[in-house]
Amino acid sequence: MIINQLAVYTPNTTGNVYKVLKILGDNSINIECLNIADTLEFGILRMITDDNQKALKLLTDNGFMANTCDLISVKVKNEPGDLEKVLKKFSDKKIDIEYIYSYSKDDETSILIKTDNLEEAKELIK
Amino acid sequence: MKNVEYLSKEEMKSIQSERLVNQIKYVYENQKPYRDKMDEALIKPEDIKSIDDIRKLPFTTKHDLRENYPFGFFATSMDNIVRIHASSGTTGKLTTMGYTKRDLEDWTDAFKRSLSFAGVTNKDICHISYGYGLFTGGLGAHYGSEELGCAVVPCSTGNTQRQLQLLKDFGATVLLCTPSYALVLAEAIEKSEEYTIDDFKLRIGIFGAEPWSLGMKQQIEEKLHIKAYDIYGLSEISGPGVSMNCGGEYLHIQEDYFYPEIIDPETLENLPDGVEGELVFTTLRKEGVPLIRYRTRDLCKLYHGTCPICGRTLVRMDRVKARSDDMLIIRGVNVFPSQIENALTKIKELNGSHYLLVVERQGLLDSLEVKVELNPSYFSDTIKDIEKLKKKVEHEVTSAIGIAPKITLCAPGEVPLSDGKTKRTIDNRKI
Repeated sequence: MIINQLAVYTPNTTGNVYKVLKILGDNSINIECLNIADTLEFGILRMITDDNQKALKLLTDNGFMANTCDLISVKVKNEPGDLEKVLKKFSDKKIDIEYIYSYSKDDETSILIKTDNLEEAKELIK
Repeated sequence: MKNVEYLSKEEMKSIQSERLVNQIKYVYENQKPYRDKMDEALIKPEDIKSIDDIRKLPFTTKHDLRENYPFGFFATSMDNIVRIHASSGTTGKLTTMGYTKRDLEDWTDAFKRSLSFAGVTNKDICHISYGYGLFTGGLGAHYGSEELGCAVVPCSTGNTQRQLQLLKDFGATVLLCTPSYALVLAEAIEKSEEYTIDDFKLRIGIFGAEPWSLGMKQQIEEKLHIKAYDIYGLSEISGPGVSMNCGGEYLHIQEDYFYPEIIDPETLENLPDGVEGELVFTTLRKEGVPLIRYRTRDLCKLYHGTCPICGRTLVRMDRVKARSDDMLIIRGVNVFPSQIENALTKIKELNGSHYLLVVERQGLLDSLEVKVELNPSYFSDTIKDIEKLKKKVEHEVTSAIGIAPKITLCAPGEVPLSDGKTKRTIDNRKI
């Protein structure tokens, strides 16, 4: 399955993540999942919301740099070894993983994966 | 009389010689600080018989003007002065310029002629966003455009949204402002929900007052759908219109009014065509504040002969990439902001014109930080892409200047452009 993700550039000044969340909250956008990739100077805040396009426009209008992109989403069972099977397929086909994180909604867990080759990855998990 | 833009070498020389002889006589009689210099150098007005004798004369510097603030260099009584301008003082104390009625007419004529190099006619509507006031940009552009017969919209700087509205509603065909402000307007149109570039009728841009790279020029032309021309001037010599781009690589100097030379800034010797040095100007007809062999501190080259693009014989100069004052010395290496700007504006993942250089000294070593904005269209969700871009920028800038700076990638809006001249360097080192 494919899932759409919103990414926002957050320079390392106090309150930036709060500002992003406040803009979304004030406009009734619900964040289902978030994480931040951090470096010395900046972070990339990645989120799944219930309306990514609306969120993208709101954030851009408020001076934030943001984009959306598609990730692979794979459902996994809550037991050891389930994710391994999926990752082996990718590794065998030499598909690289840029980043990976988990996402839970309504008692189901998916693993979200950004790969360097969305089309091939899509075929693999069918 | 034959058109002064297409004279032969001898015809121009004859005009310049007659004018220089009169200007030197006038200066010797009326401008004490320069008479003192001539006396010290044992030169008399009679020693100047032609334009070639100009090399006998002493130089005038910005320091001389500052020492004689406010009116020490005025060569006529205040009764004859009808305008006073002051330079923007980007490198220190203000210097003042006084103009008589005839000085203003000459300056207006120089600007009007400059407009015609770009193909501007009385049918054009000129939107002027240069600052009106003590700065010579606004008023110089205004009177020159008016004299040509254009319909002038005197906007000055600021209130970008309203400027966009007027540009659209009035259908201006020519935009006159600093290159920074042209980009501010272009970016405002891009971001606007109300306008697209097709709403505007601009065809020509006439930009100057600060150095700007060819990369920035290309961005402006692409975003505004215009042909951009460089106009050059300095308030000490009159204002904008001292020289103007004809559409090719070079700018033609109005050398019947302002005589140019290139000198080696160390030895003060004259340099031949095609060799870079400091631009020196002598006013040939001024009454208010004539200046003889004024050292501009701008670096460029001169080229005599017929222009291959427009056929004019007015002497040509390069676009001024830098003023020697703009130069930074970092760990013993000469660095010009324009070199860095050139490298940055070539990288599409950046908004390369939005940059700021910060120089510090930590202990014994100078450090250079280049802050530059990311282009939102290329924003990536992976750290890897941003790190790769940073390395690319580091590599390009290091290749351009020979030392490795720290690169700080900034979000849009963190490094804004000015409505006027954008400050490009912050030097925090204590001398």
